[in-house]
Amino acid sequence: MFRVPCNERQDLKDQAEFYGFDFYRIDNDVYWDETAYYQLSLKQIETHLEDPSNELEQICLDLVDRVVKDDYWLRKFCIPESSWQWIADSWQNNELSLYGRFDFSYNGNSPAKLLEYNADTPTSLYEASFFQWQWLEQQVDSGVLPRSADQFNSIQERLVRRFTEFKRNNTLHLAYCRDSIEDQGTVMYLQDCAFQAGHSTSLLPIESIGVDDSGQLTDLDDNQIELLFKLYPWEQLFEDEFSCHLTTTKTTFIEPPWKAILSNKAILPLLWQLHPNHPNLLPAYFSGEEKGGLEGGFVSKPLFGREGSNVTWFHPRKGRIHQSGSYGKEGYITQALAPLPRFNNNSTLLGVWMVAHEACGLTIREDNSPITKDTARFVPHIIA
Amino acid sequence: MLGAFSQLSGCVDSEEKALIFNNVDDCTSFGVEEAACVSQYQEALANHDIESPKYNSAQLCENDFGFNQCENKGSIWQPIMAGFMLAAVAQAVDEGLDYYKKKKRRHAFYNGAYFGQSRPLYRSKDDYFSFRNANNSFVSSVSNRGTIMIKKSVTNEPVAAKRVTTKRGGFGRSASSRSSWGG
Repeated sequence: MFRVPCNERQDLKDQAEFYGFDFYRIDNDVYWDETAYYQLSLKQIETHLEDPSNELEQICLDLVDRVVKDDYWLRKFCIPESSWQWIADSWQNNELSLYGRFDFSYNGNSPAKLLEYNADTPTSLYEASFFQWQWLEQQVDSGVLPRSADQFNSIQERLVRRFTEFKRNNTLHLAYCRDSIEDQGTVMYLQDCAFQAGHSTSLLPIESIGVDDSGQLTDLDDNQIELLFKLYPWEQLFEDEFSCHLTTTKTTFIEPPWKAILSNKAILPLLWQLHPNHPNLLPAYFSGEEKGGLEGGFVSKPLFGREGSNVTWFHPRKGRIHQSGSYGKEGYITQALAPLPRFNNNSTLLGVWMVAHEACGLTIREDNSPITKDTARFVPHIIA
Repeated sequence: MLGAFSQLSGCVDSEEKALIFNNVDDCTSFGVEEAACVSQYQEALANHDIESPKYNSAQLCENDFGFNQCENKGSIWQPIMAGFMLAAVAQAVDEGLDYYKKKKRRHAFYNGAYFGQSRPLYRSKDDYFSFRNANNSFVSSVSNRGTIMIKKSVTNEPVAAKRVTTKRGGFGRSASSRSSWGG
């Protein structure tokens, strides 16, 4: 695994605008960064990332089956009791999951260590799936990259195929957060994939969803929402004013309610308890229940934290780094430290995309800090 | 009590007499007692509030019913009632006659039959010269007045209550403080 400097395409700005990649820069900072790329071998992709991701996915599905049937774990996961039965039903009814992303610390040699599973609302999807592939094709065509260069990326094909498995007799609604240009871009990309799969689709801000006099969720024209993709986390839906309508509405959700279990960092201690010494897992414990394996440092993470918020990073020699934020009231987990590899002074995080429970693509992001935040830059990769 | 007369019999969609009027004046000028016309008009208005199509904005309503053809009811908009339709409830020779005679100030007696169960009619923008019921089923041309023969299924059509969104904005409370989820 190498980080290779590379010239940015001269027409990057035009291309980003043409393809609607409105957030290729965020707040005037570089987000999409093609002044370098990562080069991995096929073996690194297949045996170090793809195979472990597929195995972890199965381990995680087994974990859902265990948690939905056990009050102890549901309580430990801080899932509101009023939604337990509903979540269990969504699992028993095999409600379909669309996608997710495993985040790993991986340096090219040692086994990739799972840092977390973004099972509910992962972003960086459009750039991983579409823009990254465009970049590869164009750099190959212009001779910058060899003809033999490939990419771990069948995300779009898998998304389209998965969307054909959802009911297509009603409109698929896709909801994003009104003020997030990044979320809107991600959802518009998924809308396009759903359209290719034969869905009629409609976009709306999550804030605009209504409830009618029969307790059903409605769109802006008062139509009942039958099938809803929501780029908005389950734990927040459970806390919102309309949470009382969730268990009675006929709406089918993507991701399904049972994903509330997997998007929770409480899976990390439970995974470790069920599979101690698994090569791709790190020792992890609920806060206050710590045991061995933390001697090389640890990271404290809120159960429902996102984008590095409220994370504390502790290294026995380098000390402590804390990222402030608004999460944490539900409690924390402690996970053994697996410092991100440094390439050219960047901390590099690898994310493996899962669509329909199969690994199918890679996001690589760089941050100046050891804690990956929302400001981390997306850097493309090739297989060579 | 009125069921024996007003229910659909099996699956046969037979025709029956109905009365159609624009307003109370229209009704009295056909020779129906004024008290009955007023009573039936008010019954139609009451049903109108229950079963009319409902919208969240004037614009959405006017898209379907045309400029100035909508009225505001609290937080919702609905088309104005353009007319009303009375279904035949009893022939003069029917055994129910005495019952209706007693109620005759409420029911419209016309041409040897009693009519009642008054329902609202609407005129949509795209088909302005037809009366339609609240389910958007064609009832008659607006040039018809007084007695018409129409399908029983239309006079007695159970109107699917149009659902109206009662509240918005209950999701997304924590959306504003962030740029995206999950990075």
